[in-house]
Amino acid sequence: MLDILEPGQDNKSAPAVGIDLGTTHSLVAVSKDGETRVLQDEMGCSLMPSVVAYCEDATIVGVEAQMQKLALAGQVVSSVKRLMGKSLEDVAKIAPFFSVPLVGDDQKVLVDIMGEQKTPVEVSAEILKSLKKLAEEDLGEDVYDAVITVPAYFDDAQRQATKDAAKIAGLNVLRLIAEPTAAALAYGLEKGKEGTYLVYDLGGGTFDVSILKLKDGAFKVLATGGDTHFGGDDFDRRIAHKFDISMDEAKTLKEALCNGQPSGPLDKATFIDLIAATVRQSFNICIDVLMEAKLKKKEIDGLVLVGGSTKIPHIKEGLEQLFDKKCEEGINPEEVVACGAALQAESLTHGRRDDMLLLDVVPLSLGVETMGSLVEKIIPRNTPIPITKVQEFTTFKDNQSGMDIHVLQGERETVDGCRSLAKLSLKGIPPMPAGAGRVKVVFSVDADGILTVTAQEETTGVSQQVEVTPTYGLSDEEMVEMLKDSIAHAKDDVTARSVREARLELERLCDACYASLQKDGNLIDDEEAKGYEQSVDAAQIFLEMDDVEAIEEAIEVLERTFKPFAEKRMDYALKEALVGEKLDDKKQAAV
Amino acid sequence: MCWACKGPMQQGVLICPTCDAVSNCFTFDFFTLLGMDMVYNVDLKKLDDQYLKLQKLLHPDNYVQVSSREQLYAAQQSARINDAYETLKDDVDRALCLISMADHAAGKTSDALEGVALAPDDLELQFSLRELLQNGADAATLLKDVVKMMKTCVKKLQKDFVESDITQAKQDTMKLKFLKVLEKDIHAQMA
Repeated sequence: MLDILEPGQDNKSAPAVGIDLGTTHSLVAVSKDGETRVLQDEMGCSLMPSVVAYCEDATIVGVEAQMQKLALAGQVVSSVKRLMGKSLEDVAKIAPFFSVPLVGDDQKVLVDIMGEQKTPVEVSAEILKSLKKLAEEDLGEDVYDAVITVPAYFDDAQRQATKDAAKIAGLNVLRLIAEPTAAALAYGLEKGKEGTYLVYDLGGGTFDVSILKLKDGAFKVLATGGDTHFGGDDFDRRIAHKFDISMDEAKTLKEALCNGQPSGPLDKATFIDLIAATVRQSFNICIDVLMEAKLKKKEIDGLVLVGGSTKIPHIKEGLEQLFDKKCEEGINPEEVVACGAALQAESLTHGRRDDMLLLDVVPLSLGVETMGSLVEKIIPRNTPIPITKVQEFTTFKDNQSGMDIHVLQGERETVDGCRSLAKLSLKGIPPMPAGAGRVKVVFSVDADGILTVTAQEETTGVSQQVEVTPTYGLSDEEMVEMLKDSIAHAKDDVTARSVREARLELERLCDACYASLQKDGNLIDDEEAKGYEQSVDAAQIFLEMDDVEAIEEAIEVLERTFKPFAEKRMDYALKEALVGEKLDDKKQAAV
Repeated sequence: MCWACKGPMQQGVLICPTCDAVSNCFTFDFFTLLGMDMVYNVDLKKLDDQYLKLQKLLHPDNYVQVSSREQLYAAQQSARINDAYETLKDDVDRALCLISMADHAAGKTSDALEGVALAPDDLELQFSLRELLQNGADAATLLKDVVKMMKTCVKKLQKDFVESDITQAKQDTMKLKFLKVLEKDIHAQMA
């Protein structure tokens, strides 16, 4: 018997990893048979600061980069996640506090490292590269496939930016999943609990709250909310401001206080006073999300805490008081997201098909601009993904030759209140009276939460299709340029991909051929069946080859060989259907 | 016909019974897709169950390590199932879906509610309810009334569809639509 190599697993032992790409810290974990392990560097550290230092001759990431913060001021980037998929305008509020100067325009934001400009995607890619390396050193194998978490609230541009960063780092993103979903996944699977959970995720730089329903092995996000611009860093900033000390000193004081150690001038009452407004605001968001999910407080079965900032007792106690429930415990809130991502990575690559299902939702409504600068929602927030919606627009002027479609994301009803994702121009509509031209716009959000919009003019047969990349995303050219810079093997990568794809196609065909012989083998004699079987066996050999053309040739040959058999099967099915109909007729006649 | 094994595949089947390939046929109506009876009065519990059952089979997460062609088919089927579920779950969208299907069967291609105006009585009702809301009537009481009217309207729609009275169904869908918008506005005012 031939040992069949499973496609995509030529470096078979390398497992898919789960990555929590955080604002202040990042982690990577793996799961084997549902047991998760957070990977560590040679120092035994798993929590890697999301800090990148651009030194003269090297780029350093993590603890060492953080230590260079003062020595190399202006060359060390932290909290880059806050810039992902944003424009300079978007981040104006945090620019004065940012570790390096920010430049850019209303389209994009760049970090300025001593006159050299880098995109947030590139900086983020450095962090991912380091995580990849850390994982490879810990596991002793190459790492390629990954599930990466993003805040549930991340919009299209932010998700796209994250995916781009992974690509540059040489990682294949199996799926982007929402951080709170990952956290619930970790708890739900390990404890086998069912119910409705509120996930309160307060990290260094972002706040997310999600309500998830765990039922029959499906995790469904009922509603999400949050604020991409507050977190533990804000607490540090307030402490720093109050006592006129550095952010790092403030952070040390905060951590000491929370661990019950001496904390200098910072006492509990002062600290609670400093954070009270922010904490109250976060609780208000919890109530909003609860209303959005159409639930009452008592319908929440459990609370899940995520992120380092939830170690602050005041927050945990306040939340428990608000919902009259105890928080879930047992997993380190700093590691829970990476563990959940690792579980999902294992599930995706090892086909634990019926075990669980992760149903995520669109975090923000997607719509288009209509007359009077109003926004018409096409896909409302909290719609499960993947989703495809089709909307038809008619021309409103005689002989209108083009149509502009402005795609927006957000909850407000006016264009100004929403975020512009893309402007799409459909040209070449032939002359016709107003209202006669029909433009079909298709909105598709994939399972990663990334939007594609296509438009075509239908009535005349002159159809155009335009694909949209968000305004803040990188263009294909920019992507190619960055890949060139970062991976010497970019070309090998492309070849490997097409080999993988061809093998998968062939494998699919072989499976189908065997299955059809198994089921309809009785339509042909044994001799013939054997001949067919041998031709599939012969094609299987190509599954181990690296020659794309040879594999594609094998596919063609096999398809041609099986054609007569396929025709026989179809003929037989048609005859059966006819007999069935006749029987029905007879029955009818008998009645 | 199945694209993978080239064998026969019956209408409405989403996974090939011979070789397990995901179907690339996207023409089933939403009721058939979810295996539901084609009625307005849907069994919501069954709808949930069917939806979950199908998503567990067809969600793209199950097809990460297959060819990009099959990945695409799974993503498209899964997206349609989500669309179908969201449509059938909603009282207004479900009515619109049934109206479109009936219109389509009758050879009409226009939008479900194209050229349909609110009935004079409903128009008056809308006006007076709006006025009440603007003049500071008690929002909670008003909300209660509106919710009650919505329930009555849904019952009326059930009757319309049982009697295949599509013209009346269009009128009642218009009414349900404005009541829904009003409900949202009352909620907004209360918040």
